[in-house]
Amino acid sequence: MDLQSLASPTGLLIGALCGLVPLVIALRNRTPRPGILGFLACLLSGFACNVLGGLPMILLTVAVVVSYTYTDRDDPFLSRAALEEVDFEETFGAMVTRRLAGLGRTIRAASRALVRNKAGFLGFLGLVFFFVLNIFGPMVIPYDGQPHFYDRRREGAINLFQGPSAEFPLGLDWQGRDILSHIVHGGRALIITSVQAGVITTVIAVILGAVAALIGGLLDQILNAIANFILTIPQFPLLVVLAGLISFEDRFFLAVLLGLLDWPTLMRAVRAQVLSLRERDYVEAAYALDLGLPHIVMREVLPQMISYIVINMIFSIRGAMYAIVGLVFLGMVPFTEPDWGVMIFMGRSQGALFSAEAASMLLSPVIAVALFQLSLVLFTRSLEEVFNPRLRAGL
Amino acid sequence: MEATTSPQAVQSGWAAFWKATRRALTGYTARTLLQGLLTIWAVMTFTFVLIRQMPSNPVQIEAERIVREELVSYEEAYSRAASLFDFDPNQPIIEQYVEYLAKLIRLDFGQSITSAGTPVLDQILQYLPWTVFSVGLGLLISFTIGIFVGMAMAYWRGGILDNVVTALASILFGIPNYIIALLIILILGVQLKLFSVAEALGRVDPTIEPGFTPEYIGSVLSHAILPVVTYVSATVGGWILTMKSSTIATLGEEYVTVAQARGLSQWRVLTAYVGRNAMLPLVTRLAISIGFVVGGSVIIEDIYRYRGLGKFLTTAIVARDYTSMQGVFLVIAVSVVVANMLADVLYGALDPRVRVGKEQ
Amino acid sequence: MSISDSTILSVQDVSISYLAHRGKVRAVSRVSFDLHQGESLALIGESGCGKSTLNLGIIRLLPKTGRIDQGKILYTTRDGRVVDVLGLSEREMREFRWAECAMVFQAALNSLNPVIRVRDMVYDTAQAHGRHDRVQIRKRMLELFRRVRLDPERVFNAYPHELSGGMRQRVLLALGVLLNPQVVILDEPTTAVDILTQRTILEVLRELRAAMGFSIIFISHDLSIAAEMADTVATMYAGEIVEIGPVEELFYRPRHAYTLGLLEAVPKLSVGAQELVSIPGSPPDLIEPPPGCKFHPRCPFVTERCRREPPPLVEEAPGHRVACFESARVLAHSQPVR
Repeated sequence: MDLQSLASPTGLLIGALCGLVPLVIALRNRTPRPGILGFLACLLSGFACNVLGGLPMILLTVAVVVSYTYTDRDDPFLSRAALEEVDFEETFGAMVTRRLAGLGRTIRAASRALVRNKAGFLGFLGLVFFFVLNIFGPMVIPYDGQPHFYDRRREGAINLFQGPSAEFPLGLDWQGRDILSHIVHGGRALIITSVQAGVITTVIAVILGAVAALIGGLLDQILNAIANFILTIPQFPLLVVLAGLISFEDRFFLAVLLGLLDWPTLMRAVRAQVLSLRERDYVEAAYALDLGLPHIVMREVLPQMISYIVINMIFSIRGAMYAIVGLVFLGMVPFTEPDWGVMIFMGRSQGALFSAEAASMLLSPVIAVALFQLSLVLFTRSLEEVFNPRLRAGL
Repeated sequence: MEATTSPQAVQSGWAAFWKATRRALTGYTARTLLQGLLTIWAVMTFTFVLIRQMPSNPVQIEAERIVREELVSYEEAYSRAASLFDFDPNQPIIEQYVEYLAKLIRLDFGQSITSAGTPVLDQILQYLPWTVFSVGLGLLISFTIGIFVGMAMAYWRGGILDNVVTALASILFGIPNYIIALLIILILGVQLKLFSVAEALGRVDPTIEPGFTPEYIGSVLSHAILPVVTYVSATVGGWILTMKSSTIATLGEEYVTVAQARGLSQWRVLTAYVGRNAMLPLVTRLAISIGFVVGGSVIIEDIYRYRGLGKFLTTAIVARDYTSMQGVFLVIAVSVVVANMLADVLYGALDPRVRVGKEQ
Repeated sequence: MSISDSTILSVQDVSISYLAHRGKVRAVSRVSFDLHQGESLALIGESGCGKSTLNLGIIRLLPKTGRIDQGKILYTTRDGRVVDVLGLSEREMREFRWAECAMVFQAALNSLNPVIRVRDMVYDTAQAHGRHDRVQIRKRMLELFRRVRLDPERVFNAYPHELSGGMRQRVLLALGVLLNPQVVILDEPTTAVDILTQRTILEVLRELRAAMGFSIIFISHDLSIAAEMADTVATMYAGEIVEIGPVEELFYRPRHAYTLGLLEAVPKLSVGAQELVSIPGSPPDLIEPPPGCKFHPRCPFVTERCRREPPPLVEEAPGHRVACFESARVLAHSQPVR
């Protein structure tokens, strides 16, 4: 995915076109409010991610819009009438509407749950902030990458760096460059690599964990031995060695590597969970029905664990960012500017630790990383509520 | 009793012996020990091969340094560097491995490559105590705080203490340790000038003569404050939150209600019934964390210029000092394995249910 | 404080509620009953009807969200004083628990601390009530274990997980009478144990009661056990006692539609294969209970009046009180069944 192409004016148009769909449906149902919200959501996501953002958003917003007016009168599964009286035949359209309404209700319940936990919602807002900063920020604030040797030097100053001022809210770095522009442009690659690493970790861990528990035997033992082995090697020192060994010019490599080192903890948890779920009646029933391994994992085991898995993924993302910034900080991977990690490294090596004037150079990326990680951790609180059906039902 | 033993007796004696040995080997303790040794060996072999795959080698790195500093030709620098070190980069890796293993069996970690003539073990023993001291102390403090504060929060759930500390703990838990270290230096040191950054770095004031003098110990302690505070703040949030949720879960257990119904004093219920059960899951995690004490925190030691094992390791990595790197990885692997065994033993001691499970 | 001579425990007009997200849950509303010396009272009703809440309320161990809104719980001490349990200080309450009124919980739920030995729980209990003579305590406990047919030495030194469910239930029972309480509350003591263990527990309980003379409050949803153990039976529905009376009266001449419904839902060996009738619908929402009689939406005898006003609890036969406007019809309906 070419990241620079994100957030374009064409996207705005695409978003607006997509947004018409929920709007029209909503107006026909006489529920303008969700329609307008849906239009705005489509507009924004289309703007942010073009077609990739606009089209999926149509589905989500239409689902929400439909759920406002849909009544479960015809729903054979919710009807209180006796079994014989219910007509199980439904047209394709009816089925689509019913499914959409179900999805819409889930989204609404989830968003209510999201708001309920204050700390979690704060984390969510933090993530939205960084999302906006990284997608739309670059459109407003151009990247200031060239060193300014003469044009921004203050009278009689020895160094180029400056504290915050009205013109440069976060000050200038040791080459006289605008720190704010580096903050705005420097998070994207870092966040994307971290998220990639988190997703890779989760996929590996879930697959291996489920396979180990469900197949068992020798394979289980081997996988456990590997997990033990990886857990015994000190992660960060190993990464430092590997950084010397493998070129991380391509950050995706780094993400894969982080994923390969991080899966054992989650894998063990999934394995333990699957083993204990296996004992439970409904999974045994699925076994008895001969529904097959993938079915059991996908339909019976995963939904039970989804909260745990997603929260673990968030922590993996956090861990990956910790490792990446740490590696950059120690100067162990090739630098690609703009990047928060590089800013921290440069800030320290250019003496920001000892000068109050230059502190902004180091403090800005440090706070950016801290806030992002904090948002991630806080966000898990809301996720707990979103995925907890008991809490979601409002009991 | 009998002076003469019949052949059958001898045979059955041997059979019994073999049986006992087999049982011992398949027994829980022996199996754990064997597994631990295997893991250590695997880590050792893995890192042995891995670090030798890194580009460049100690001789080349040293040669490059000589070229930079003395402006001689690379060939000359290379031959000088090669003569400095007792290390032959062209020796096949298998040979190196066998030699290393042969030494390791006699607990000889070999000689450092870059500081020729110094045994790696001596160097490790010189750096290790500093790391164990600072990280270990941090772990101890944050675990203790976590247990007590977490329990208090669960007990007075929803109160001011709970809300304030939960927010604080989440924030601390959310921020990486090196960011905390940088923030401490930047805000407390540079902006507020609460301490002199230049003086606070390092592990001890180098002008003070080492020894059991008040000045030296004072200097050691004062230099340890920053790293220890950093380790504590980076980990205490996790301990607090875990203990809190564990205590809440335990408070909901029937046996706590039953204990109260028996008229037990609040204190007794909180210690023997709630506390002890709530701590169980944390003890395992504590033991595992102890294993990683030795690995220390590479980045924190780098920031504070605190020359512990982590700093030693990064220096060794940069210089491609294979034997030193190997030694550090080995020490860390051993400590992790030992700590895991410790976790098992501790858990067994605290939870009778596990004890029985293992014997069966 | 009025209380008759033989009354040990008098629950008067007690209401208990929980705070939930949606509002106040009235788990127990205006419940009154008397427990006499040596009497055995069974509380029956569906799960969630407030039986357990009422009993936790008596020893004041409600969860944090629970609160006793009104009422009195009068208790006659051994020396004849009458105290209101709800007015006791925290310290007095602690002494009251177990020494005066012990509660035996379900052993199936994790009622014993898994990490300490039975003997430590015994000593803990004794010490909390100022009895520090370990030799004496041990002697008494071993004797009680023998009475409940446990291997005393082994059980005394065991960890809970080394005992079976039935054994744990008997340990709890023995521990419950350790301090010679006047009242023992049994919360579903025979749930989740097999039928033979159930018998043993009931026998043991009968023997202990005969020997020590304590009164019992017995929570069960198993009517046959209630019939066997109880002198008096109280039917609870949606937090209220809807019918209370001597066991024979209540089981053979039920006057409340709900009691009748519970009785008809039990299979009877004597009658053979007959169709069981279950009560339609489910227990009401306790946050916004239905107006009038709370049972009316499920009641086959419902009239217009039931929907409007709540029926009062009135004595219709000696010791037999019922809260039902249509009790005569219910009684008439129940007779042909026998």
